[in-house]
Amino acid sequence: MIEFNDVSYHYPNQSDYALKHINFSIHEGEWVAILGRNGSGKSTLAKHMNGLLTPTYGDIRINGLELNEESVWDIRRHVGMVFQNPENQFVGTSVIDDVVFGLENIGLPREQMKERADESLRLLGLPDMHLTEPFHLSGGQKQRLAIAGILAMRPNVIVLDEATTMLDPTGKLQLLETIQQIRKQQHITTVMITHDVQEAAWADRVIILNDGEIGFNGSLSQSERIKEFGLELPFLLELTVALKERGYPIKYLPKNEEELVNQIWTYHSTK
Amino acid sequence: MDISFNQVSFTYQKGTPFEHHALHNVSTSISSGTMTAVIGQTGSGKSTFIQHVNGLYYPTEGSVEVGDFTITQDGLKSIKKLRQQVGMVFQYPEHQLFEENVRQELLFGPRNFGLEVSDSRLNEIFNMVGLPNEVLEKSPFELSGGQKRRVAIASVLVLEPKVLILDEPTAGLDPAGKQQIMNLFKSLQVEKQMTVVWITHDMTEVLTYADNVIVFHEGKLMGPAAPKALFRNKELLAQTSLNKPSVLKFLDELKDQIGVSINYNDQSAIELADEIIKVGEKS
Repeated sequence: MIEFNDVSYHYPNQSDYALKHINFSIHEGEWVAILGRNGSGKSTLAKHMNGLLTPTYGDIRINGLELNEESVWDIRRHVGMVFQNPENQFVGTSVIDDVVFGLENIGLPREQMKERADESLRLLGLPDMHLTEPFHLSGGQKQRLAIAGILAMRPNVIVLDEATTMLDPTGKLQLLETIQQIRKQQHITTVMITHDVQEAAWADRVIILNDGEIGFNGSLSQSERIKEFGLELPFLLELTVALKERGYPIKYLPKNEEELVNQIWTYHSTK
Repeated sequence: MDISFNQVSFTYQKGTPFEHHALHNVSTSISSGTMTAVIGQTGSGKSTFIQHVNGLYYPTEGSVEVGDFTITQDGLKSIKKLRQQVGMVFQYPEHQLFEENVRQELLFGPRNFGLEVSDSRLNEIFNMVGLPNEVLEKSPFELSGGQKRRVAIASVLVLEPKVLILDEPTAGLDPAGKQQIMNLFKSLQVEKQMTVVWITHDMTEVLTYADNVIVFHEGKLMGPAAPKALFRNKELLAQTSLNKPSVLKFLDELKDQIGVSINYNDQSAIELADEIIKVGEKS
């Protein structure tokens, strides 16, 4: 679905390359986390996925189509982006206006617009808020509205660029659960840019960026080298890794405290 | 400097249809040289509270004492002196950087207060916040997010405040960046006996760094309490919709699901893993 072939990028007026020889591919329906420290090149990478930035060298294919000046408008209809601060993305004066904005732009008939908007808002848990002003929503609701607007466009890919950074822990968890649910129903390829290792545990696979280069590409549970890339393990994963190193049979990385305790319990009860 | 709030209430836009009571009868004290975390939901009054400490707001009722300064609804004549001693770092302070290079940025505050700052002093502050000296000559806009944040904090430290007030200083930073910034505040507390008051949503940060924690809920103050005592107070946590830090959530789950009870005494994840193994061997 997404293919990067030897992509390098250089910001004008900067000496060093922000991205260096990036190669990877993401299949249809996969959930991939792009993990890295502040300044590792994550957001630069994300902006390449819908042509907000164009590679200095190398090429990018989305759904088999090479990303270039001609294809970029088409590709943007298939790749939805959600940024850190949803307020910067609102255009409508009500929730419903905001969701249909993109649909109006592609000239969808009114009935279909309504149907898609209603469905998106329902999926994101904002069903009775059509006429609410976006600025009156909570942080988590704002971010879900931003996603609803993108989902209504029926994209193949959603790119979430640090979309949970501004949310409190509860809002963060709810948003991740929502994303997981949508993916099950709609098979949307999901790319999540984050510096939160705990959040990356939700994804099928992680790509770790370090100083503009890919440091690791695989399952997070296999990466005991996370610290090498300047990433701190949150308490829960540090404990999980420590238990694993001491011979505990850890089957999967826990997304929350309960999932780790469940694994400990299973082990104790079968011993 | 000791800080005390004496029955402080604050009302935004008093006497208009937009009147909003942000603080209700808040009384508390913060001892000199301590680190105090201020927590609570968005809109609970946290930011209004901390902005009283350097006189950005004057209380509608009651008084705020900071060292020898007393702020009431009539304000404070020597406000400039107070602000020199109480450094304030706003949320996302990197959005406020504007000078041509970092050196100019750092000298802007002192110039306003008519102070001279030597090059060696600038270098020393840069060392403290963990930035290499060559950054001094760069434009603030060339720096990464974490570096900008540290420049913004350095530009307050250069005034040598006795009290440091920060609104979500670690928001948006990666975990390693968070740790660096929090360790910086800890060392300012230990080495310079600075009083640090900071707003945060990160409960692990509260548990790790705070001597005391103040909880706001709908403009009212709950606490102060020691962090461990706060997180044991189930009623208060439920009432204020606050989360526990991950380590305490885990220990609760362990107790509820398996009946294994481990007390939290600042153990690291590694130490806890060893304890869990030991308990497992006994059972």
